[in-house]
Amino acid sequence: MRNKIPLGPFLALLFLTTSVLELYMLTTRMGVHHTGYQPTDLADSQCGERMDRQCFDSALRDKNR
Amino acid sequence: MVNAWTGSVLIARYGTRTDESALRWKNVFSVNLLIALLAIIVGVWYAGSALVQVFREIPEINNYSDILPGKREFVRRFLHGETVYVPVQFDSYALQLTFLPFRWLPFVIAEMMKFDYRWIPFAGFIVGILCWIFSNSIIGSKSAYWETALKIFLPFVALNMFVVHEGINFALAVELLILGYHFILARFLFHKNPWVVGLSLVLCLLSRYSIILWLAVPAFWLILEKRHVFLGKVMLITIGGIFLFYLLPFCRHDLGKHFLTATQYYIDACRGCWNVDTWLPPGSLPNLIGKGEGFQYWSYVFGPTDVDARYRLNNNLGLLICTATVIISCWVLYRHIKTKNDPIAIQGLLFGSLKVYMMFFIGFILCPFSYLFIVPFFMLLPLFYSISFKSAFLNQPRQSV
Repeated sequence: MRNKIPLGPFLALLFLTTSVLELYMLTTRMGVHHTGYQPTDLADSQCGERMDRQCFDSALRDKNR
Repeated sequence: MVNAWTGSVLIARYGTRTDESALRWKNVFSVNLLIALLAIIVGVWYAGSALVQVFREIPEINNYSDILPGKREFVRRFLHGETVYVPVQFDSYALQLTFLPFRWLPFVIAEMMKFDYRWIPFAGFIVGILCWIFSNSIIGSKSAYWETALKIFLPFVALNMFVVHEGINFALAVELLILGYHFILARFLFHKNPWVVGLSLVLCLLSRYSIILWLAVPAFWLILEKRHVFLGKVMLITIGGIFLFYLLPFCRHDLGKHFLTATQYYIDACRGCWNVDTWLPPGSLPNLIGKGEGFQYWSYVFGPTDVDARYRLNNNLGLLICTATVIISCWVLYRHIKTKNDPIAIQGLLFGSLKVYMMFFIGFILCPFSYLFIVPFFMLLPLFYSISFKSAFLNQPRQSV
């Protein structure tokens, strides 16, 4: 008799794995690798999505100090 | 997409009902409840301590964003009996008010009790989880203790990851509050009382209102089930709620014209996100689009040469795909109801459809701020809570509804 893959554990693991993967992609911005976007981490973490040159410049200055 | 689909199938085979008829109140005070409450306390401490760190680094009063200052001004006007919905003047621009009442009304509590506004969204998240704890899926079902503990604690682990990786989203934005409303809606979507369903809908519609198009799916389900009277009551209560909480108190001065002006302002402001920022080298991708969290990147890179045309392409694609998601969900519902009509499978289908819809809606949103992606991710939770993992791992499909 041929062994079947049990559906329940398989689907549960698939659900959990893909959910963790989604969380990983969103929190680490995995997408940035293929968009080629390379933010300066420090400036990005300090100024976030505020498109303010002054904020980024000052963060970069602090970083290079 | 894959987790939404597997989640729906898992609910159909190994799921538990969320609606009240399945909850036996004598089962409420159980070891599972104790474990769930302990898990939420540990979770609040775990995610809360990461938030404390972020709030210390970024003070509540800052000039990074107009989200919280805007809300502070609405609350001040509201408490002083002034007209709330007139533009808020900042240094270089006047902010048109796109924030509907439930995005700022809860902050009145923080203002009156004099604590940091940013704890309100976290409280919204906790209330959403608490609503799920007191459901058949968590305490009503005979789930294993480890399963209950993990189901309650893991969302806080996920939240902690978001906070650690991009704390600024929680220091400046209030997305967890909107997420809390969506948890409440999903929790009570199958409630037998039209008031509970209607008021849960009002919370979502008077906050982010992203779900407005998706509501066609549960409405179609009720029509197929021939529950026309129930649907009518829910619609009336929802419209009544919008009238009572928004139109009557806040729209009398201009008959709601501010909403249309603010919508146009929002569309124009979002177009700015598609320009390359001045601090980036020439030829770069615009900051928010380059992050690659949504689908905007594809329209930007592979769309027409004109940026306006790329922007329109993304908007049209978003509308088309969201509409297609709704139509396909309705079709699958129709097929299922004509053949099996299993309430738990329908629950899985609606939660799966909501997850996919939210992912596309935010995925194609005009300006993809990172914090917007928190809600679509956490729309996994209704699926996660409805699955009995103990049954799934033991491969024991449920016997009856």
